[in-house]
Amino acid sequence: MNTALTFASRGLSAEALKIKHTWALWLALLAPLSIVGMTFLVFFFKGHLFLKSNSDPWLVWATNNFLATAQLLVPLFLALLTALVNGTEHQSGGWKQLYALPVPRWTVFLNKYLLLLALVILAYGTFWLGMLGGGYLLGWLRPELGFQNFHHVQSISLGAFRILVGSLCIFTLQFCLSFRFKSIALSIGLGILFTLAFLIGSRWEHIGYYPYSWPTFSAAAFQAKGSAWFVPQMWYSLAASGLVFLVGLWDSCRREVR
Amino acid sequence: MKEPLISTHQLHCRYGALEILKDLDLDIPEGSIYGFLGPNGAGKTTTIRLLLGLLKPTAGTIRLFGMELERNRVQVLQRVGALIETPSLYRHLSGRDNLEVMRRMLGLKKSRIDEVLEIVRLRQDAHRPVKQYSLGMCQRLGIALALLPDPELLILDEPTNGLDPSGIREMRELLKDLNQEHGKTIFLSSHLLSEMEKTVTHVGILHQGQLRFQGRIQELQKATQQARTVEVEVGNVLLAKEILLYLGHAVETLDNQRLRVAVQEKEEAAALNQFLVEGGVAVYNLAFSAQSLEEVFLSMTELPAFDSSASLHLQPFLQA
Repeated sequence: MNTALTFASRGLSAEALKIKHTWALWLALLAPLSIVGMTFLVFFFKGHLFLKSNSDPWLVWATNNFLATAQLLVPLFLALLTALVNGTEHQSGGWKQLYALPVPRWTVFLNKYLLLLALVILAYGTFWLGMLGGGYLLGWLRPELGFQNFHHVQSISLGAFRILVGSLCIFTLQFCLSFRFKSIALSIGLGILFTLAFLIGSRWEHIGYYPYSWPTFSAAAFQAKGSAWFVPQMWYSLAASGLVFLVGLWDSCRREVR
Repeated sequence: MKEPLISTHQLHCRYGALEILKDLDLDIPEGSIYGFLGPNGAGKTTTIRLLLGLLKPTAGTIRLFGMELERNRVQVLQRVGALIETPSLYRHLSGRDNLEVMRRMLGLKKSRIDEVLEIVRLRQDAHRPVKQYSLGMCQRLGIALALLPDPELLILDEPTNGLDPSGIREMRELLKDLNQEHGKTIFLSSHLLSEMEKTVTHVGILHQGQLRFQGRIQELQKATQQARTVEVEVGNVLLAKEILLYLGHAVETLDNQRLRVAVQEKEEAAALNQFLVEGGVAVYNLAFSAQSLEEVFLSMTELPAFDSSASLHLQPFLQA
C-alpha cells in the first residue's frame, strides 16, 4: 500500500510539472470565470429589468450560472481539458517513455487521472468562489438589486458540488477517450457531438439516463424544493464513472506501445 | 560462463499477419557496446520495444540481468535507461524541467540532474525551452533522460538519427565514455554500420526479422578478409580448380572460363598466377577484389533471409 502511494505521489508531482507553461491550468481557472463573468455583466447592466424588487436575486443568479455551466460549459470544458493534458503526451511521444519506466503500468493512467481530477476540482472551486464573490460584488456595486440582503452560501456550495458529481462520468469518459486516441479532434469532436445529442434530445422522456444530461439534472436540483443532497443522476454518474475508470485502467495496463 | 546481460530465446513477434521477428536469439554480454544493425524495417525498434516490455512477444522469452522480463518488469527496468527512436521530450518545458519530470517520477536525488547534464554537456543550455534545441541537443537530452537513474544498461534506438557528422562523432565519443568511464553496457541500434564500426565491441545484424550475424566486431572484420577474392580467367577451368583446391584455396566456379578464389592478401594473386602457369593452365586475366566491412554488412542485409538455424553464423562466401 505504501509503495502504491509512493508511486502515485511521485507520479502526480511529475504530472503537475508537465502542465507548467501550458493552457491547462489557465483553462481550469478561466473557463468557470467566463460563465460567471458574463452572467455578472448581464446582472450589472440589466439586472434591474428582470429582478423583481425585494425578491431574492441569488436564486436567479445561481440558476443562470448553474444551468449555463451544466448544459454547455461542463461537457465542452471537460472534453477540451482532458484532450489538452493527454495531448501533451501524444505530441511528445511520451507514452513509450512512461511505459518503459520502472513503475507499475497502472500508475501511468492513475497519475494522469488524478492530475486532471485535481484540475476539474480547481475549476469547480473557482466557479463556486466566482459565484459567491460575483454575487456579493453585485450587492456592493448595485445595492438596489438586493444581493447583500440574502445569504445562500450553503445551497450554492451544494449546487456546485452536485454538478461536480453529476459531471464525473463525462470527465472519466472524455479522459479515457483522450488517453486512448492520439487525435485531439476525435475526443473534442465526440464531446461536442455527445453534448449536441443531449441538447437535441433534451425533451425525450429517458434523457435522464444519458450521461451528458446528468450535470443538468444535478444542477436542476438547486431549484427543486426539498431535493435530497444526492439526486439519482449523481448516483448514476458516480457508478458509471467508476465503471468507465476500471475499464480504462484495465485497458491501460494491457496497452501495447507501438 | 557468465550469463549475458540481455538474452532472448526464439523470440517471435507478429502484427496481425505480418511477421516482424522470427526466432531471435540475442546474447548481449555485460560491459559491451552492442551494435544492433539492420536496414530500416528489419525489426530493430520492435526488438527494443520488446526488450522494454512495451510490446508482448508472440512467442519466446526475454531475460535481462538473468531475470525473466515479463515476471520482473519493474525490477528489471530499474536497471535500464532507454532512448526509443526520437526522444520523448516536452517541448514547452526547459531541458532541466524535462529531467525534473523524470526525477520526480523515479524519486531520485536532485543532484543527479546536474550530473547527467554534465555528462551530455548540456549544462549551459539546460534552462532553455526544448523547442529551441537543435536535433543533436534533443538527442543528448534524450540520453540524459536515459542516464538519469544511473542504469547499468543503456538501450538506445538510433541515437545518431538526424545528426550531422560532427554530432555523430560527438555521440560516438559520449558512448565510448559512458562504456569505458562509467561502466555502462550499451545496446544501440543503427541502420549504418559505418557510424558504429568504431564504437561497438559486439555486433548483431538483423535482416527481415532474422539475425544474420552475431559476435565480436573483430569476427565481422575477419569476414571482410574472407571477402577478398581473385577472379581468374583460364583456359582449363577443371584443371585450374584442381590445382587451387590442392593449394588449399576456397574456389567458386563462375562459368566455363572463370573462377573466384578466396585470398588473404592482394600479393597472393601473383603466386596463384605462377602456380597455375606452372601447372600448365593458360591464364588470360586476373582481377583482385575486396569487400569493405560496409559491403559485407550490405551483402548480409540484401540477400534473402536464411534458414533460422544458420542465422547465428556468417555464411561462407566460397566453398573450400
